[in-house]
Amino acid sequence: MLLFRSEEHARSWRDARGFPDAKTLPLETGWKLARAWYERKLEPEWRRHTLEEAEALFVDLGLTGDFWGLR
Amino acid sequence: MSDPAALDREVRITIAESIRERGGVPLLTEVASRLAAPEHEVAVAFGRLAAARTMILRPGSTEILSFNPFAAGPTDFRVRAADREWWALCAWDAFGVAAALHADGLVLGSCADICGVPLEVRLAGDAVGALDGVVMQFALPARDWWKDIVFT
Repeated sequence: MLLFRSEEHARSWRDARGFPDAKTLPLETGWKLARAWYERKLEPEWRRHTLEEAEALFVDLGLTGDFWGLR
Repeated sequence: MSDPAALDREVRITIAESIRERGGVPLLTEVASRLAAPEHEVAVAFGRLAAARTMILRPGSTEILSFNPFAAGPTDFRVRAADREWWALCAWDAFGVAAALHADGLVLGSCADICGVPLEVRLAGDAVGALDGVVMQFALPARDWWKDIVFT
C-alpha cells in the first residue's frame, strides 16, 4: 500500500508496474481502515480478525467487489 | 513454559509492551530476557506467530521485520506519534502505527510514482490532513496480500 500525489500518479504507477486492477482509496478511508484493523494490536486481548469480521469491516467502509474479497 | 499457545501469548504481549515502553520492536534476545525463557523456545514462538500472521520475520532469520504495523527498522514510511518516531512497511501500516498507539500522527512518505515528491499526512482524531488529491493505492487484491506480504 503506497501513497501517491494524485490519482494520475497512482494510475501512472499501476500502468508502468503492471497492476491494472490496483485500487486507490481516499486517505480518510485508509485512516478508518487502519484504525479498525490495528487499534487493538498492542492490547493483551488482541486477536486477529476472523475472515467474516474482516469482510464485514471492508463492507462497512464501502470496500466491496472482487478486489476486496478474501476467499 | 510447556503450553505453546500460552508462550505465544506471553511473547506477543512482551513484544507489545516493549514497543510501548521502548518505542521500538525488540530483538529476540530481548524478548527471551524479559520472559526469562530460552531463546530457542522464543524463536519457535516467533515462527508460530509469524505463521499466524501476527508478525513478519526477516527472510531467513528469526528476528522480527514487522510486528504489524510497527516495522523494526528504517523504511520509506516514517511516523511521528506519541512523542516518538516509528517506521512502517506500507502506508496502511503507517496509519496503523498511530491507530495502535491511539495517538495523533504525522506520516512522512513520498509519492511512489517516478516524481517521488515528499508527502505528509497528518492524522488527528477523525481528521486527515494532506495535500489535495493524495491517495493510498493497493496494488494487489485483498486475498493475495499475504502471498508476498513484504511486497504488499
